[in-house]
Amino acid sequence: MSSLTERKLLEGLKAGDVRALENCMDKYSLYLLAVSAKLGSEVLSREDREEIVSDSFLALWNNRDKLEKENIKSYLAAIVRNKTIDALRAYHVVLPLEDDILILACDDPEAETIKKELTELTKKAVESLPQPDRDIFKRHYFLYEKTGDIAENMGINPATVRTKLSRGRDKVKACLRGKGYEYENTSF
Amino acid sequence: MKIHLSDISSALSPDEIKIVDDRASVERIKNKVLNEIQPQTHKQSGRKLVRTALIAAVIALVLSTAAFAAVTYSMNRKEIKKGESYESNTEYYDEDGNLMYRFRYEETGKAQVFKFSCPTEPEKQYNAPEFRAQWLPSEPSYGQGGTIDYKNTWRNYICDNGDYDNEMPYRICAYSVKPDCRYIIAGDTEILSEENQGNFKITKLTVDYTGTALGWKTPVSYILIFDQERGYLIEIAGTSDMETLEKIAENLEIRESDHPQIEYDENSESDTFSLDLSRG
Repeated sequence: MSSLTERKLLEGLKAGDVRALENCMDKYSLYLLAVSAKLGSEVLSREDREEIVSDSFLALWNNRDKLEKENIKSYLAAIVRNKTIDALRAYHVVLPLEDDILILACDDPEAETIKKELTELTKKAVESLPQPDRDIFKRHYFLYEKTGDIAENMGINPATVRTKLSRGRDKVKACLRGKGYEYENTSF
Repeated sequence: MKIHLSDISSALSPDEIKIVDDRASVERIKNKVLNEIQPQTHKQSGRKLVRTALIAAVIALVLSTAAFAAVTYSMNRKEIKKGESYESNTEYYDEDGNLMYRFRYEETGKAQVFKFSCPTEPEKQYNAPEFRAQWLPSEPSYGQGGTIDYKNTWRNYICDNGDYDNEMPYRICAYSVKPDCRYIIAGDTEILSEENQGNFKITKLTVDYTGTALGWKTPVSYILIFDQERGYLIEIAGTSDMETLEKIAENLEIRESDHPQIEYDENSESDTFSLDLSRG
């Protein structure tokens, strides 16, 4: 939980206070539209993006009873990201990334549970990275921004971006390994 | 098990991203979401009866106000005529107090702008107001969670958002105003009455959105009850006729709650604390 404001919003949502939802929409809509635009600006229309953001707020509202200690902004951003990727798939657009595959030495009878834990561990590892490494990792693996674009936008050498991404991946791997996740083969 | 690193990066939302100030998109999103979450269907007639009788008797009793207690807060109204413009600002700050981004609303056209001030230091700081509705013309769509026992539950917001036809039979909100903040009702407004009753300033008006892009079929009526001692603003509004809204007001119990005004967003500053019904 990041702040008192977020706590109050969360309490308001859980209490069913629609003004808390309105406040979330006032506060985060532009940010979420920007996330969706960044991921799918060349394919999705403005109407598509507005629908994705609207559906994400509805998901937040409909699941308000299940909210526990989520950071609302991150929670919404994750929904928007997933919905945007789904929408792009509907247009047969796949966002490619380099060094994106990780093969874990475990079966997946509880894949969702494992994935949730891996997501938390990845977040923890990435948040511990120094800047600008952290932003670079997020731009690449959350926003699917290509290394060349990151380099151009941040005014740094593409080779530097790749080096920093590699360090980030090492950090994530170390964090996962620390929690007992072993690799059959690491493709990144 | 094959995992995509991008899949387990879904919680890595960036702190900074280039934002385009597209307020119209935000309004469309809000309208869509708020329309979706209303399960009720209800329609009201468009009768427009205006009664100028006093309506604050019940309110005064419940608040236990002294007759002619100190008037601390004031509410001044300015009419924005067609062609004139007004603007309001909302600024968002990060945890360190740095300005993140700013919304600037700039509107041209008719509006009523209510500005609140506090010329004299209040004797005490009052907690936020809350109310209990002893009569409503229809079941509320939502309030503050769960089944709404509106007669026995104190709350600061309740409404029947009607069907999906851009009508909202009623909405009741209770606020503590902040000095220098404004409350703006945009649209083709008509002030029906303004009167003082003890410490209460009561304003009745209608706004005609029919024929506009908003698509409302019925004019919206407002009763604004401003407690000049405590700085409470009670807004009773909706597409119900004025007589119905007056009956709601007559049966509304208002009291001081045990908590200050809830500020959901302490990292923002706005000179407009509420926008009008048409904004969702």
